[in-house]
Parts: sequence; C-alpha cells; structure tokens
Amino acid sequence: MNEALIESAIAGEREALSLLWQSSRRWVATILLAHKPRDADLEDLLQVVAMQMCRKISTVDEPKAFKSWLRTVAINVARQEGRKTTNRKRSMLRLVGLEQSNDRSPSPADVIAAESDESRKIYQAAMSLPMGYREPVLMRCVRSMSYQQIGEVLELPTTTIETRIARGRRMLREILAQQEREQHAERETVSSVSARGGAR
Amino acid sequence: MSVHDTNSTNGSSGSSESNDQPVVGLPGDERDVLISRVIDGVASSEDWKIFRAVAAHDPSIWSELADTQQIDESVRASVHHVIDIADRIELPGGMIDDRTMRTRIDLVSRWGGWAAAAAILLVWFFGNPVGIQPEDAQDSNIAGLPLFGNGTTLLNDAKPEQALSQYLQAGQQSGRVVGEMPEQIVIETRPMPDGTIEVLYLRQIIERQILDHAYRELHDETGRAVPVPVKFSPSADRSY
Repeated sequence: MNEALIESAIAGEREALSLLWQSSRRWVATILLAHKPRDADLEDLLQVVAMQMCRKISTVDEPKAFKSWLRTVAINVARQEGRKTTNRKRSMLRLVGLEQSNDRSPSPADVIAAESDESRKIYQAAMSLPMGYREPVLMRCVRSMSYQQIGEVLELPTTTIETRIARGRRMLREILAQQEREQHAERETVSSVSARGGAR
Repeated sequence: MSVHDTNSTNGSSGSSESNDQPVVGLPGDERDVLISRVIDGVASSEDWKIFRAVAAHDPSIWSELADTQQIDESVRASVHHVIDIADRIELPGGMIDDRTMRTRIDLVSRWGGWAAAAAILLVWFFGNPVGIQPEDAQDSNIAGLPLFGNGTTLLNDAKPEQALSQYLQAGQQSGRVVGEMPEQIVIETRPMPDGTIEVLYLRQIIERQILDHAYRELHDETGRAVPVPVKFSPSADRSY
C-alpha cells in the first residue's frame, strides 16, 4: 500500500481516503468475519468501520501504523457487536425463559456462502480455528494478499504468518478428518442398530 | 527451510490421531509449510526438491497436498462469496463534517421512531419533510402548521376527506402517489362516555420518489445518526 496515499488520507484528502478504503475493505471484511458474532450482519459492521475510518484516521501517527490501526478498529467494532448480541440474548432469555442460546444459528451471509453441505462444513471448520490461525488463513483468501501484507496488518513477522497459515491449514484438515471419522462411526452405529432391529 | 512462530497460540496442533506424522529429517511444521508454499504457488526449486525427496519416502504427502488444496479452495470460495459485499461499501461521502447535513440528521433524530427511520432517505434530497420545522423557522402559522415559502397556507377550507382525496389525485397524476392500501390498521379502540366507540387507525398511502443517491442510517458510538451511501448495482434485479 502506497505510503503517500495513506499520508494524504491521514491529512484528510477525500480522494485518498476513498482509494485507501477501496484497497482495504476486503481484508477488513475478513477481520470482521474472524471476530464478529455469527449472527451479526457483515455489511452493517463494514459500514461502521468505514465511518470510524473516516472520522478517526487523523489520529493515526504515521502511515506504517495505518493497517494495524484499521484492524484494531475492525476488531473493536466486531467486539462491540458481540457485546450487543450477548445483551440481546440475555434479555431474550429473561423474557422467554429459554435455557439454551441460539449461538449456532448461522448468519444469512454464512448460509449463502455455504451452499452445499460440504462447503458449509469446511467454512464452519475454518471459522472454528483458534483466532491466531483463523485471521491469517482468512486473510490469505483475499486475492493478492501476500504473507508480508498480512504480516503488516497483524504486526507479525512474515515467517510467523507463513507458519500460522500452514498450521491453520493442517488443523483444518485434521478437524475435517476427525468429523469424517465421527460421522462414519455414527453411521456404523445406526446401521448396526437397524440390522439388530431387523433381525428381531 | 525454517519455520517460525514467535507468537504461537497453539504450537501442538497435531493430535495423536494425526495421519501426517513427520518423516525423518522433516519436522511437522516444515512439512506443513512445504505443502502450504506449494498451494500458494510460492514454492522455490529448493522447496520442490525437498518435497520430491519427502514424497519418495512417504507418498502420503501427495494426498495431504491434494486434500489441503481442496479444502483451501473451498474456504477461499466461501470467504470470497461472503466478503464480496465489501465492494458495495463506500465511505460516508463528504458528510461527516458537513454542518448542513448534521443539522438535518439532528432534526430527524429528534423526531425519533419509525417515522424518522422511514423519512431519513428522503430528507437528504427533498429537504425537511412536512411537519419537521427547524427551530428557527419563521414560516409557521399559529397552529404550528407548515406554510409554503410564499406564505400561502397548505391547508384550505376543504374537509379532511376532500383534502386527502385531492392529494391522492394530484399525487397520482404527478406520479408521486402509487395508491392507498385498502386495509386500514386499527391501533386502538375504546368506548366513549356517550356510548360511541373511538377508533385510532392507520391509513397507508404508498408514495414513490426517484433518487440520485440513497443512504442508510447508522448510528455512531455516541448514538448519533450518520448517513452512509448505499451502492446499488444497475444490473441488480432485486429491491432493497
């Protein structure tokens, strides 16, 4: 990302600010995706981040700090939404006396993203990775984002980013393999129960 | 080839059931990084040399590569699908420091409730809706009813039904009014002392406006309403 562009944006130039947002919004979306509650609307959160960037970019000390600053803004917005969601759920629990929260209900975007069972399973597994791995793995999905660029956002060395992405991918493979084994065992149990039932 | 994670949160991700046991001379992390580099298309010729050497002793690395690549493709496709929405999000163009706009937002905010939510999109382009007057407005009559700029009263001597009918007709002619919903929504009914019944109800009139731009209302951390532009795709065949 061009430092001169960031400098101009910090100085308040609308054109620069707009270009900077356009080049950042996709990776900002992945940060939000990694941190937001499942049922929060990604579009709304992006709007709030855009608004905050507009209003507070002048507080960024130097261009190099911009990416990590914007990531912090995005994380705060996602966490704030998380607190709101928790409060909403608490009040709902009080109102209707439910004993279980519906944490697992997927957001509409999540549903759209995962049209087939297989892709939904993989997407959910990716979202269940530990945060330290989830962020770089999701950011790597943004076209043209190199290990170095991801490192600039996460404030980590490039080598660390590379290792986390590699481990994250391995974890994903293991999570899915584990799920496959469990499903297989479940199917075996069901078929043996059916067979016993049929024999009687 | 070296592997680093100075801030590792979970270095021992492999389980005892893991089927990707490292081969001699290639620790698990290095094997993962090797596979990852191949997937990302950044493997050097040296990396490929190591990969082939490992594969010669342990061909399962090929299936690990294939599985990981397939999973990665799927995650990428899903994430792309979800974050595509980001391309529609624009900055709140030029409005944050615009005093006029802020005054308008404040006016609408003060009005509050669903009416303000419904009105806000139009407020930006058509001025204050009827009934919202700036505090320093001079053009109002004793009853607080709005006046047109030239001092002519908006309401004439017509009865309410006649005035409404005129509005509907004129609105339909100009294209502003689409029509009135046949159903009237009863809000409250209560018996009156004289034996009659008072009914409060909503009449629903559908209006249309053509806008150059549209804005959504969001609230900043202080709860103040802020407009943000909504980008419509000309090819989109859905309404919002």
